[in-house]
Amino acid sequence: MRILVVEDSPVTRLMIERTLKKWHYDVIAVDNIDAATDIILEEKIQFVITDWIMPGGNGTVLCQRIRAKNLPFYTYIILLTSLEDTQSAIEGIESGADDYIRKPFHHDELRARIRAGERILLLEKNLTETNKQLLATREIINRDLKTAAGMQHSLLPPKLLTIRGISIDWIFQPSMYLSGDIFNFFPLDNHHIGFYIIDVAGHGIASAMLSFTLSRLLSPDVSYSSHLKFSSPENPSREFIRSASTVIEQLNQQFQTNEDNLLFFTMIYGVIDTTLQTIELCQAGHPSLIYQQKDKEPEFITESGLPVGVIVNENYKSVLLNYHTGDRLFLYSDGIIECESPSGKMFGKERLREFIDKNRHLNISQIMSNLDQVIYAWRKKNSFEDDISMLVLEIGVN
Amino acid sequence: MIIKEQKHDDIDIVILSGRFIMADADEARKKLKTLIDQGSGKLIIDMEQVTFIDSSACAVLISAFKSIQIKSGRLVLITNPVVQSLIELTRLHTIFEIVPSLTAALAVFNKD
Repeated sequence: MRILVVEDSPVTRLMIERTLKKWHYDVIAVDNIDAATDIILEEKIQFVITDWIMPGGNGTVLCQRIRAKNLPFYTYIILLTSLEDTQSAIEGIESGADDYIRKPFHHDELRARIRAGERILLLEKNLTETNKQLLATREIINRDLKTAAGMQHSLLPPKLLTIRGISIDWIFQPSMYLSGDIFNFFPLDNHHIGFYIIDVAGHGIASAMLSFTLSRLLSPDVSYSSHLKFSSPENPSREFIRSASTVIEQLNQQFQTNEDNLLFFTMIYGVIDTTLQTIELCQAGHPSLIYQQKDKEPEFITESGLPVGVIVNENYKSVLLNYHTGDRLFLYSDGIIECESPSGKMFGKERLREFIDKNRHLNISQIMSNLDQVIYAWRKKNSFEDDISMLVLEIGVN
Repeated sequence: MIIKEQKHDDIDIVILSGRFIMADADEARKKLKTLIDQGSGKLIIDMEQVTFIDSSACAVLISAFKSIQIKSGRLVLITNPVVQSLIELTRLHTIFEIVPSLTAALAVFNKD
């Protein structure tokens, strides 16, 4: 290890230099603090033994200078002092010294104190190294998460998408990069439209992995016979749309939770028939959809079965809505209604229903952006405990 | 969250208090699994002092419910109004046996 000795008296300087060399330290010796400062910066010196009182500036000033520079490495400083009183010792340590030795000193004491300093520097070095590795790892994880978050966003439908007169908008706010929430809105055939919202239990990577899988499974692009459509072997070109309850029952059989996989999910799946002007809705443990008929108060559609994956062979029931132009449907995750204010009060479903009622005169994209602001104002901070999502559908003129 | 365990004859009682959320889910799941594996199939989870539960906590309750059913045992939950409403949001109250107090929970087992 290299030690910088700062001492104005040539005799003492030489004596310390010789002693340290005898102990196999690499020694640089100077007689003033300006030269010392330059060498510390240039040579990245981590160990300094400095005299207290010197003509060009005291050792305590050197301590203050070094500490003020916030160097990327730590420099351990021992002050040499002939001052006897406790007050001076305090002053030395306060100015940034790590230790001090009273002159005239015992060689053994100096050696012991240097070793103590070496131990501190070793700890500091290990800590810096570990920190560097952690930061590098965090960097990689963050980059991966950002890429994955981008992929997740690409699974969502375009904002303000309109299919056969039915328009949507949405809010999607993962609690951290990735969300366990997912939703979609897509044509099933020339007079059917499918839509869903899913909230996988928990949040974070594991929940998001299941939400990715479900999003791919519930894709209408897959050719005949999928989770959403089927055709008979006799006439493969003729497609049938699966009912909302059948879709959920199939997922329930396929995604049963067990000891190793606890992730159940709640969902709403709906099939719109634009010819009959009906919406078949099936809810599985998800917060109740809010149905706002034109010129009526918004109401909760409460009919619901258990979340998906809880009980095998569970039967799910659908409800059928007859829609009219101007009707709106709001699907949302529990992250909104369970969003807590700083005092721990939940936003609640009634407040959400009232918000929707009060803002009925606005268009759906204004409602989404207002709701986004209202939730942030409620939370009063930028981080959320749970994923937040909302999908709104509006029946326009076909 | 704080997890305490008690035994009343051959009935295992797990008393939870504070916020029961994702960060506690793994510890709670492991504790419950050990109790269910070693116990007599009679389990009470007391959540009277729980201030909030999230979906991860519900997942732990479902897992306990399923494990004890495999053993032909019985799980009884004690809730307060907040916990009850959060469970009802996901309809899970339709499968769980829920009572409002420890006395009521013990009575469920002593009836048999």
